[in-house]
Amino acid sequence: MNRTAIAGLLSKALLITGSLLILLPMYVLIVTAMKTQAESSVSFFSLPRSLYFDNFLYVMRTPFFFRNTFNSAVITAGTVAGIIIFAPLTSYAIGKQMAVHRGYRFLYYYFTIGLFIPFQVVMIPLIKLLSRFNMMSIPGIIILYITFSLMQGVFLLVGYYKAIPPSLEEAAVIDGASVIQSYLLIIFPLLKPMILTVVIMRGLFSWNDFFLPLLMLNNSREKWTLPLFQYNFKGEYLFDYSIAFASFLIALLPIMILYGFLQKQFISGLTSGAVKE
Amino acid sequence: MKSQKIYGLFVLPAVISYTLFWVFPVAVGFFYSLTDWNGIRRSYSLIGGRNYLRILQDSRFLDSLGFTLHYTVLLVIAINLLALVIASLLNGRLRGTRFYRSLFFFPAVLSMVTVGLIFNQIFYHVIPWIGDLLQIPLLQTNLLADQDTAEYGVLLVNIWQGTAIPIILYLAGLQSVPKELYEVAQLEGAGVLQRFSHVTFPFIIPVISMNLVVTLKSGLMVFDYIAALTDGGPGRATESMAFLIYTNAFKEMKFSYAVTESFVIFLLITVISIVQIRLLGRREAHA
Amino acid sequence: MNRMHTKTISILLCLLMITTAAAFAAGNKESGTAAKQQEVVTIEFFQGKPEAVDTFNALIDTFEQEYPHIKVTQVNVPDSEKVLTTRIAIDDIPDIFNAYVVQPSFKFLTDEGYVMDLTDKQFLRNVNPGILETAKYDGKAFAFPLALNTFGVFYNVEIFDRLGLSIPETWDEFMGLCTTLESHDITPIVLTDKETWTLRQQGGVIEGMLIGDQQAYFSQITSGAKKPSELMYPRIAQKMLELRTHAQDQTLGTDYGQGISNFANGQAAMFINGIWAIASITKANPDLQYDMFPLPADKKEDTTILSGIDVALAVSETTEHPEEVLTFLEFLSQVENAQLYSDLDGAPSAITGVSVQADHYERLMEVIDAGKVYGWPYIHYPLAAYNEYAGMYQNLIAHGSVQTFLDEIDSVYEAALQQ
Repeated sequence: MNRTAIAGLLSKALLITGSLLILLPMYVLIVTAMKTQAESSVSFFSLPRSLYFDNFLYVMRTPFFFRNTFNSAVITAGTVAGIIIFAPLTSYAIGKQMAVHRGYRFLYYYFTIGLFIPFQVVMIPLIKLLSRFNMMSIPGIIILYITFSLMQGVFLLVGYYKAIPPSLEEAAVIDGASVIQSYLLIIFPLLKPMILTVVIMRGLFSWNDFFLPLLMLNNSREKWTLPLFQYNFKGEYLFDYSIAFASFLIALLPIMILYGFLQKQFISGLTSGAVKE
Repeated sequence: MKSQKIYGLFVLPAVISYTLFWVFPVAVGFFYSLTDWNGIRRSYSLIGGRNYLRILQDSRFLDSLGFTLHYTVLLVIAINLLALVIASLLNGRLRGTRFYRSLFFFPAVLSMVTVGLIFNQIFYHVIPWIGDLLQIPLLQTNLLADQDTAEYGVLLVNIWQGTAIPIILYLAGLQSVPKELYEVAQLEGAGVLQRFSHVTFPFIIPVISMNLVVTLKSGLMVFDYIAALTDGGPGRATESMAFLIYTNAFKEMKFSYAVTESFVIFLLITVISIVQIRLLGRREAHA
Repeated sequence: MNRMHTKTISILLCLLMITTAAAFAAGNKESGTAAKQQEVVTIEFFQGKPEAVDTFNALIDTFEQEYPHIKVTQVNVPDSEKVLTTRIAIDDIPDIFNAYVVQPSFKFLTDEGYVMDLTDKQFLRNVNPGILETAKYDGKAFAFPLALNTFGVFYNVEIFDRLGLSIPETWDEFMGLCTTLESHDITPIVLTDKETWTLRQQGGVIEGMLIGDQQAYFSQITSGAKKPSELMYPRIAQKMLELRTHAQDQTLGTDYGQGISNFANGQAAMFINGIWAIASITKANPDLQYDMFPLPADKKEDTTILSGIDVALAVSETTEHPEEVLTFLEFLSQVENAQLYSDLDGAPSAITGVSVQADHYERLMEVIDAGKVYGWPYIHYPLAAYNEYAGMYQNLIAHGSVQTFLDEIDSVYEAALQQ
């Protein structure tokens, strides 16, 4: 009894320390965004003297803010939709067939090995290819994000699929379900937690990515994404962290709202023991 | 036979786009590694494996390799240990775990531009302030400004953000351990560590393996954190492989050489990952 | 049952592919028709100075009124050098771009024939001949210099007045001034050594002042007659270190933005940088009273000043609209337009006949007007060495050892010259 109590206390203490370490940078971010430049250069760490929202208004009034945010939203939504359709479908076929079919085992390695290739190798040839295909555009970037998600998607989803007891699927087949039915009705729901993990990882990546939009969408501000907008901000007001930080907080807002909605599904869904025997 | 076709159809779009937009550019990249192309010249000549031979004698490359390996070992150990401990705590029946779960995931949400700028400020203002307050000499300085500590500064930020997703994956793994087994172990009087090594560990090997591969990859290919925090400096104290490749390709106009370096890291990561998966695979619990 | 599903899925997949293809097609058509409807030629002007966007927009507005058949699209991106490199690699070179003529990488572009030779163009006659000369490679002008920059010491007028300090005219006076400030518990200088480009510039400025004839000096190195350590580098390294003894702690941890903020808020009395920092300093603290003085040489009469090219525009060799592009450059070279640029941007002009207000840097202009100027020495660095400078200076600062620095620079040059 006593030992459990100590262990409980210890875990609580560890969790609280961890939380503080996570919250500290957040505190800095929020507090700085709400100070005037003069205020934050005098005392970086203190609370703002008043609730000061001009930095946020300033960011939102900058030309193309809404346009660029909208572009980011479209790109992320498209990427997420593509991942949901293709990643589990591909992984299911590979995971199911790799035990019996050499070709699918090859495909598993074919996809996962791509994870280990640094983007720098691919970049110039890839951009050349894209410009030849006229894909230096928002739909083009969506297709790339979906494609790049496949490597991690196949790696994680095949691993997860293999942990699903085959009995579940066999039962469905005996009941006369077709491959597609058993995929949609049995496998897809079972894979959901891991699909969600992949979607969140890759969705966040496409929302936050700076490099690809910079290379593909650079020729007009109308086509920019939010990270490009923010980065340019950093360049222009490099001494003024208040405005840069305000722009970061604004970019966080949509994610936080979405996260609020998905949180129950994501965190608890993933850990609800879907793979229980 | 019919169902074979369906599976083929399932993978077809993915195979096509992946081959076209990833494998094909990689193949072209490999071709460039056999040339002396500088990235902008209109012509180049084939020079065979000369770039590969040059790399092995390039002290800058070897220094950077040494740095990257050191960094990766620390990163992989720190992230996986931390994530496993936190996930185990969150897997318990403590009050407020739901809140903590969201909180610990939070760093993953931030973009690199954001993290870089916040932490530059934290290293500049906040950590020295805390160091002064607590009278800890190590913390009183800006970690990023010193060649001996810059690596740890970057690591700190990478761990801060990079632990979030492994926590989630470990949580999922822990949930797959049948609860009854814990009860049996507890009845037999097994301690925390024994319970972990005999009950939990075999069940979470697939997740450990996944996390190791993912963190290994992020360590060996670390670029963003370096670019955002130190730019490879001070001097070359934090010049990682990926950063070196980037510098060679875009600043020094040595494109074919940079691509060659990438293939060397690629081989390295692949070999390490295969060894690691094989080693862990032996202990996997076949549920 | 099974077959039906196969069909549905295949149809769905096909649909998805068609929609994507259609999306591309639609995207292309849109841009195609848009170009046809307006009988106007659009040229792209790509530049990497975010602070100059508004200035150029003002000029473009005037230009488009005068030449309604030409539309100039200004493109400004973060990390512009990388974007330009990629665009060159994919043969999508902007019609006009801001060229970093003082950096060795620009020579790669001209050597490959990516850049139009402007040597014979009439409008180059409007450029100050001395300056045009510094923008030439092998006697050919591949870029049109528009604006200049210069470099010096920013100082806080209020602190100087309060302590009754006067402007130092020799290096020793400068160091003495720093000691005086320290005795009043004021950090004399804020240095931004985390930022590699400011470090390279500072080294380049000290170097430029010491070496005099750059061509002759560097040919000693490139011909292999002398090692860098046998020339001015011991002195440069020593000066770099001397400055650090009067700067804030851990200069290697301070970036450019932080440096500006510290100086603007009075946390240091001086800041060493170029005139492009003026706009940012004023923005960071509009109430700050500050001015600039030349970085002094050892002897008063030896003090010379950097006058480098800040903006130079280059034209793609393969532009589809050479006539319109040259019309735009011609427009920019006219005195009244160059004057407008200088007024809005605050930088001195490369065009003859343009007067500059020189707010905050009158003292530097006096030296420039007296003709005691030099250009950025980097243009003579071999590319492989150029990229090493910042790292070498950071190592120098970290170790504090001139000898280690000299060994490093010798070996860097040896390797660079072998290539």
